[in-house]
Amino acid sequence: MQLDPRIAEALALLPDYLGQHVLLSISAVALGIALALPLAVASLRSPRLRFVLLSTVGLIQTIPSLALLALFYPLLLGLSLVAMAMFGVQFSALGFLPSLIALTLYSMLPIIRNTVTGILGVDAAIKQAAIGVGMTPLQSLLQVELPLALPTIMAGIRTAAVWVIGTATLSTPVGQTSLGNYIFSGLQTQNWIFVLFGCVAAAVLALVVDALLGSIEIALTGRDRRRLSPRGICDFGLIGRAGREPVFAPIRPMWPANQKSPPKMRIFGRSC
Amino acid sequence: MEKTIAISIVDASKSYDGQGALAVHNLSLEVREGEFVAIVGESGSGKTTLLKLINRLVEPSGGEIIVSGNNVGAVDPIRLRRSIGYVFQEVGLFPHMTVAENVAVTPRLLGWDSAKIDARVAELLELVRLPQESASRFPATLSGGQRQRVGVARALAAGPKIMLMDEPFGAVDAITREGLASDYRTLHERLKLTTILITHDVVEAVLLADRIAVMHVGTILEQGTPRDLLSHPAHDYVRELMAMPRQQADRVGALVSGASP
Repeated sequence: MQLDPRIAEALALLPDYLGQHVLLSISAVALGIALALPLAVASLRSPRLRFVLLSTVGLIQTIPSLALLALFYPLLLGLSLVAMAMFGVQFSALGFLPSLIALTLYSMLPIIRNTVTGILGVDAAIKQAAIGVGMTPLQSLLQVELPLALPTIMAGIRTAAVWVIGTATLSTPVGQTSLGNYIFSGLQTQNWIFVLFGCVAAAVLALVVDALLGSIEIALTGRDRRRLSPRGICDFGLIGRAGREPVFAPIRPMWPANQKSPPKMRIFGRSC
Repeated sequence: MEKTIAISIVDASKSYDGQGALAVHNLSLEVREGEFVAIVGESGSGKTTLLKLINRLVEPSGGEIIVSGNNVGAVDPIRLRRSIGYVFQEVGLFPHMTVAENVAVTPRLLGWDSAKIDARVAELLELVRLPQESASRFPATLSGGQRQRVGVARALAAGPKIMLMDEPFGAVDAITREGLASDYRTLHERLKLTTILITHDVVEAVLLADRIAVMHVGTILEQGTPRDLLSHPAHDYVRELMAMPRQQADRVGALVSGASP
């Protein structure tokens, strides 16, 4: 059986598009985490600073993604001219750089919001105990507050990653190769297979990355979870348990909110 | 022989809003080395604030607090807290750490080596009568009474001479509470500790403490040995408070003997 030539063509382009898409998304989320975590921690002490920070990143989120990406073209063009005049160096205002900046800004809201919520949500009695046993504020943050807020922070990072991977398809119009290339060129040539291929590829990538981050979360916090319950091993799968995000959140089965744990089910013969 | 003073609170006041309402006012209290003092009083009488003033979880608005001869205002608060055992009202165990890690918190902060810490954890579990297997368990898997024992072990870990206990046996049933309290009194003797225990349970105070201080709206109304306070209290409030356990016992006795209460 012969493969449809359009699919064959799409597949041939996949390594390049996917590679650039992944590189861009990973860079944006990594940069987003590197900026958002310290900002969130710094804002913990001052409600006013927190308000300013959350309003700013919230405002960024209201700018349509395509507009945000486009916005950095003239901005960077101007900056590039200034840099040329002052230092004799020039950088491209198209392609990777504007995409990276826009996507980084985009990724910050969920990470900052979840970090702030997670740390502020740590039981006051436990924070008091941390100070009472003689921890410095930094020790309390690193040894008690951050570890306890980790599930919430990781949930924010996962949300950010899924958003960024989806939005990165829009970096094609600003000159950055991504899985969006399928979609935009498909639209122009009325090649619907290309459009569909791009959508599916981006969606699959988002799901895979989300599951991957979920496994990292379990590796970081799984120790106590497994000891807490002999069923803990079943957490590593499609179902979540009371109060925890399942690893594969997008297709989480629903069960009544008043029910403490999901209905019994069997996965690979193991009763969960 | 006159014993040395371990904790001396001189005319201390604390206001949380910077003016007006005082959680603690003009409070003075001396605790001798090796003494077991119970502070009783109703909710909101300032008991917890008093305790927190001693290890600087709360800074006084006025007055002086002297611990082991040093004015606490002049001591590094971090070092001070590491040298004093504190058992919290809500226990406050770290849920992401095992029992052993919880107990080892302060020694680790003090930079002990791991062999010494392991030996100390085993010794402490023995001391608070927890099975050694519980070392690797997480607080969520323990009963309320066991958690309280871990809380006591954590407070004792770095070998403090002073223990501050804020209703440490509050969140457990009466029988468990009885066991915990008498176990702790034994530890107090054995380790030659100086203990300040906060409780709203007069019976617990009478049975455990060498001396009781009654707190009422932010200051100490009266203090003395349990016997003194029971037999000739100076204030009506103290008389009522101290009479409560006996009245309850009388009512129970009456019920048992068949008379109408």
